[in-house]
Amino acid sequence: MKRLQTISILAMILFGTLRLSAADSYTAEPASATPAQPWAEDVLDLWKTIPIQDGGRLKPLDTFAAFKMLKLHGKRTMRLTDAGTTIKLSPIEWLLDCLFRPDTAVKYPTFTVDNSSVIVAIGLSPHKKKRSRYSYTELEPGIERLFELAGQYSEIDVQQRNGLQTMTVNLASNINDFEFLLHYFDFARIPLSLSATDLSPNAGASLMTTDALQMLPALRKIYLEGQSRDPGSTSPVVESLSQILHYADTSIGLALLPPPETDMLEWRTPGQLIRQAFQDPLPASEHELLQALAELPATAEMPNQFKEQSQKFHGLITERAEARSEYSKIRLEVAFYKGKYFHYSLCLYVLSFLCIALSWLGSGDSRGSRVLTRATIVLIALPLILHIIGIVLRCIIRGRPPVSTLYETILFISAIAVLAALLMEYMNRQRIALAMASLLGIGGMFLANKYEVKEAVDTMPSLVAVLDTNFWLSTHVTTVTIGYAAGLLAAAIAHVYVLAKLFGLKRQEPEFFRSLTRMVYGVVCFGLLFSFTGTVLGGIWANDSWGRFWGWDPKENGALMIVLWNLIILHARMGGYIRESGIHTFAVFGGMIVAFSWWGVNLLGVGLHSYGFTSGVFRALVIFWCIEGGIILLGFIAWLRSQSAQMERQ
Amino acid sequence: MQEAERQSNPFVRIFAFLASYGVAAVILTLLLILTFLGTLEQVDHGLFAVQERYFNSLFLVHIFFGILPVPLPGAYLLMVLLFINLVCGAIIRAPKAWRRPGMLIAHSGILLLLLGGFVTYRYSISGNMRLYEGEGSSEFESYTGWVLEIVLVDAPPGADAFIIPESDFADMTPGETRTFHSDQLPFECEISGYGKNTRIEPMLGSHSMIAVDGFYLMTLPRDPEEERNVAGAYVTVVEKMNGRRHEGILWPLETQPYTVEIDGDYWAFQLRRPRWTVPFTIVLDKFTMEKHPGTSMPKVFLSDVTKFEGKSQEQIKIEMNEPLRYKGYTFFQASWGPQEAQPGERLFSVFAVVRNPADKWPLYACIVVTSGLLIHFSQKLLLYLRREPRRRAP
Repeated sequence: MKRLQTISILAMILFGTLRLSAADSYTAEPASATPAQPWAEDVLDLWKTIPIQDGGRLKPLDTFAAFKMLKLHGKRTMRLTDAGTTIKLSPIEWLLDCLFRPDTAVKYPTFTVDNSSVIVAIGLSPHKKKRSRYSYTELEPGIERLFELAGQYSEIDVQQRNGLQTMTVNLASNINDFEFLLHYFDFARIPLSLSATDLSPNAGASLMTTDALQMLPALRKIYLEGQSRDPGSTSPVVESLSQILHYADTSIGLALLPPPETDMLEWRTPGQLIRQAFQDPLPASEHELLQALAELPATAEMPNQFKEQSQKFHGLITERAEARSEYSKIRLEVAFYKGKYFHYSLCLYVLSFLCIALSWLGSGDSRGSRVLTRATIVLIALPLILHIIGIVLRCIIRGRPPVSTLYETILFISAIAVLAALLMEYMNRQRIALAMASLLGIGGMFLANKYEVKEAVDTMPSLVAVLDTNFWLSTHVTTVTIGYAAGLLAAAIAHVYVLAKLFGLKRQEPEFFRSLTRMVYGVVCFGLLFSFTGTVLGGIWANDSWGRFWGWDPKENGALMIVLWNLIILHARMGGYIRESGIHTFAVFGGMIVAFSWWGVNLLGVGLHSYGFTSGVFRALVIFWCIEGGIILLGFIAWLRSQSAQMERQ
Repeated sequence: MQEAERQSNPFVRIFAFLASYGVAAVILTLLLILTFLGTLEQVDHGLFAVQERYFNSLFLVHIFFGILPVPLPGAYLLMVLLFINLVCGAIIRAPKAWRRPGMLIAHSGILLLLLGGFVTYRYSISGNMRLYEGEGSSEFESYTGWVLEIVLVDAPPGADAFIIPESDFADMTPGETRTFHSDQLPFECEISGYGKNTRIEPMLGSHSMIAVDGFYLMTLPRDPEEERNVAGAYVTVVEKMNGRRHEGILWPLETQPYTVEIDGDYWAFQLRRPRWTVPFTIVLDKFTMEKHPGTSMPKVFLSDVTKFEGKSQEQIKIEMNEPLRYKGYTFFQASWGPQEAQPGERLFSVFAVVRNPADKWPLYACIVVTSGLLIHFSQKLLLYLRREPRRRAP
C-alpha cells in the first residue's frame, strides 16, 4: 500500500509524464453503469486466493480488492442497476472487471465523493446529492484539472489542508489507483505498432509485448541500423520500444509475480519484468510467468478458456509461493474475511441486548424473565466466541499477539470488556453486567467497523522495526489495553448507577446500588493492576529500545493518567472523601481519561507513538467527552438531590 | 487520655497529615493535572522544554486559555512529596499483618520506582555514538548542552584538554563578560554574548553588535527541539605575558575551531557537546537496514559491532529492542545514515548510549508492585466471592 501511495504521489507530481496518455484511456460512451456478465464462482474463488505482495506483506487478492474498493468506493459491495434490477458486485468481481473489462469498469460508480464541491472545483456538474458516487467516465473530463489541483494541495502539510484540499488529493489518489488497475493489462491487450511480419514474413500479424521481449536483441539491432542510416528517425521499431517502456511504467499496479530466488523478498509487477528484460534477457521461467499472465485478457470473455488460463496462472504462482513458504496463510485469510466474524458478532450482540431489555420488563423472578436471561447469556456467549475466534485467526494469520495496531486495540479491548462483564455477572447475577457486556460488545464491534471503513487500509499491516517484537507486544500492549477495557467497563457500570439514581429507579433497593458500587470498585482494582503493570512494562520496553524508561511522551502520559486516576479513586475512597456517588462519577471520568489516552493523544500529532495516528476522530471524541461530561453533571445533580432528601428526612 | 495527648503533639499531627489519604489524593490529582497539561503543551513547545518546565521542576506557572496564570507545583516536587507520603502513610503507619501483605509490598515497589526515577534523573548520563562502517570509538556525546574545549594543537596523545562546562557561562546576562583562567594556560579567556541558539551572519550596514572579522552572532529564538539549538559566544583570548588580545567567535557548526597562536603554540577553542569515555571500544563492522518488501517502511536496523577491551574482543549484534549492555553502559540502535545512501555506499550507525545506575530498577519495581497488587486484590476477590452469595440469599 505504501508503495502504491508513493507511486500515486509520484504520478501526481510527474503528471503528464507518468500519467497514462489520452490515447490509452478507456473512454466509453456516457451511459448508465451496465453490469458485465458475472464471473463464474469457481473462477472468483481462484482469483481470491491468488497471492499479492502489497504493503510489505503477502495477502490474498481478495483482501487487496476489498480494501482497494473500500478506499475508492467507501463500501465493500457495489450496487449496480440494470433495467430496474439491482446487482451487487463483490470486491473481487469489481477488481476482475477493472483488470479484464476496463471499458465496462469505467462506467461503474466507483468513486465516492463526500462533498460535491470537489466536483465543482474541477469544472464538472455535480449530482443532486452532496455526497454521491461517480464513475470514471463522469470524472474523466475534469481529471486533468483534478491532478493539477491535487499537485498544488499536496505541497501543503497534511495537518494544514482544509476539507476540500484533502478530498481533492484523496480523489486524485483514488483515480490514480484506479487507472493503474485499468491499464494493468495494457501490455497484454494492446498489440505493438510493429507487426510480426516486419520481423519475419512467416510470423503472425500482430506482435505483443511479451513476444517482443524475447526479440529485444533483434529489435535493438534493427533500431541501431535505422539510426545509423537516419539518426532521430521514427519507425515502428522505435515506436514499439517506447510503447514497451511505457508499459514498464504503467503495468505496476499489482505485484503478482514472485521472484525465483528465495533471498529476493520483493515480488514483481509485469512492469518490473519488462524493465528487467531491457537489461538482461528474461530467464525462461520468468517469461513463462509473464506469458501466463499476459494470456489472460484475451480469454476474459470465454468462460472456459478463462478458467483454464486462470488455473494455469494460479498454479504457477502458488507453486512458487509455496516453495518460498509464502502461501501458507493465504487461504486462511480468505476464510477469515469470508467468515465475517465481527459482523455476525455485532448482530448477535444487538440481539442479546434486545433480549435482556425484554427481560427487564418482567420481574426478575418471573419465569419469562429467567428464560430471557438465560437466552441472553447464550446470545452473548455466541458473539463473544465469534469475536474471540476472529481475534485468534488474525493472530495466526499475522503471527503476532492480538494487539499491534490501533484497529486491533478496538477488537481486543471490547472482547476483554465483554469477558470481564460476563465474569462479573457470574459472580453477582444482577443482570447489569450482562447488559453492559452486550452494550460494550455492540460499541466495540460498531467502532471497529467504523474505523476500518474510515481508514480503508489493510488492518493487518507490516510493522515498523520498533514494534517488531512479539514479546513486548504480548506483554506491554496486552496488559495496558486490558487496563483500558477495565476503565471503560467501570465507566459503563457507573452510568447505570447515575441514571438509576437520576430517574429514581430501584429506590427501595439500596442493595442494588451497593452492588453496583462493589462492581465498580472491583473493576477499578482490576484496571489498576493491569494499567500499572502495562504502563511500567511499556517503560521497560522503551528502556530496551530507546534507552530511557520514561520520556513523558504523550502516549506514556495517557497511560500514566489512567493509573493515577485509578489510584485517586481508591485513595479518595479509603480516605472517605468519596462514597457511592463519588466513586461512580469518578469512574465515568475515568472513561473519559481512557478515551483521551486511547484516541486523544494520537490526535496531538506529537510523540514517539505515531504509528497509531489517525485523523478525523476528533469530532467523535469531543461528542463522547461532552456526553460523559453531561453524565457527570447528572451524577452530581442526583447526589445533590439525595443529599437534600436525606437532610429533609433528618 | 494518652490518645488526646498524642493528638495535641504537633509532630504527631504533622506526621498524621503527611501520612494521610487526603494528601495522597491531592498529590495524585495534581500529578494527573500536570501530566495532562504537560502532554497538551508538547504540541506547541516540544518535549524538552515541557519536560524541563512541568516535570523536572519544583514550581511553574501554567497559563490557562492563554490568559489565566495559575501557579502549580512541578512534578519533581510532587514526586518528592509522594515519596514522603508513601513512607509515612503506606510504610510506617500502615497496619502490618502478615496475612495481608499485599499493600505493603505494592507500596514498597512504588517507592523503589520513585527512587529509581530520582537516581536516573540525577545520576544517569545519556548521549550518542556515531560510527561509520569500519570506525571505532570509546567516546559518546551528549544530545544537549555545550562545553568550551581548549586544546593545544599537536599536543601529544592523551594530553588533557581544558574544559569549561556550559553551566559556568550559560547564566551570563547580556553585555556581561566572564573571565576564565588557569595556571597551566599562558592566557586568560573572556567569554561574552553567549546565546543558546545562534547563527553567524555577515555584518552588513551599521549594527550595534560586536563584530569579529566582519561577522557577528545573531541570536535566534530557542527551538522547541532542544537538539536543534546551536549555541554561540564571543571569546577574547588575553595573553598573560603581554596583554595582547585575540577576538573570535565560537560556533559549533564551524568546520574548524577558533585557533590562536601564542609563543609558537597553537591553541584551539571549540564549543562542542559534552563527551564521556567508556572503558572499552566499539567498532562498527557492518550496518544493515532492511525494509518491508516493496515499501519504504523499515523492518530491521542491525549493527554488527566488535567490542574491544584490552586484548579480548567480542562480536555483537545491536538491533532495535536488542541493546548491548556492558559494564553499566547500554548501547541502543538509535539511527543511521546517510538517509539517501546509494547501494554500496558506506553507512553510519548511531547508538544511543546510556549509563544509568537504576537501569533495571523499574523492572524490579514492576515485579514487586504487581505481586503486591495481585496478592491484595486476590484476597479481596476471594472475600467478595465468599460474601456475595450470602448477600443474594433472601
